Amino acid sequence: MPRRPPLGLLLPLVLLAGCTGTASTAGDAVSVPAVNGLSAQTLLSCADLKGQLPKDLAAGVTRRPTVPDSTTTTAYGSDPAIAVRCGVKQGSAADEPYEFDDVRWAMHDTGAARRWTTRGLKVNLEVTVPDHFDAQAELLGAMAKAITSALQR
Amino acid sequence: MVQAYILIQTEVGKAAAVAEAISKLEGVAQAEDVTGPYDVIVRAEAKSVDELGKLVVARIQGVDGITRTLTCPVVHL
Repeated sequence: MPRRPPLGLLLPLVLLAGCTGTASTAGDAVSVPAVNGLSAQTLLSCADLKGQLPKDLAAGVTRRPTVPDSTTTTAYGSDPAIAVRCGVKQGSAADEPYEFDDVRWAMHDTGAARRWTTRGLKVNLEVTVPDHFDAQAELLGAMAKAITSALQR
Repeated sequence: MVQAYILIQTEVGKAAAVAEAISKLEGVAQAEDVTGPYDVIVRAEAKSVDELGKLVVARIQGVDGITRTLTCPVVHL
């Protein structure tokens, strides 16, 4: 049965400092590790996804360029930014299961962020959302249409 | 050289303009507007898969009127 995180989890959790982020910045670009060694089909599915991801996930959570410039990565929002990596292994069954807008996710709390990884798609996606972002379910939901369109086949 | 067919859905009434715009891009061998579940089919080629991915992301998806792409690499089994 689909679950959404309790509201308390979605409220802003202001961290003591911004130095524990998962994605660092270089100028306006965000440093997000590329996913390497992918098959042609997976890489091109990631290319399809990248073009379909929305410009904004929510008000003020706007898309940003990544370094290295890779077909497999995207970033959103203020520092530390949300890091999106395409072509990863599916989320672990040991992590907390969620489902938002027909996309299944496994959530792993890293301490400073929540790392959400899709499950059951042809190509899987990892989205690391630092804890200073609230309403994480809505942020992931904003990507659902692009994910199901590009990766669910 | 890596080749792929890129299946494209466009906004209503924009298929011809999208095909015309894409046909002028470097790396695009052919672009035609068609009927059926997709509106434009493109054959593209590049030196590597990485380059082909960037062609899809940076140039083809930048064309106004595109709503969805589905990229199918050519394989010779």
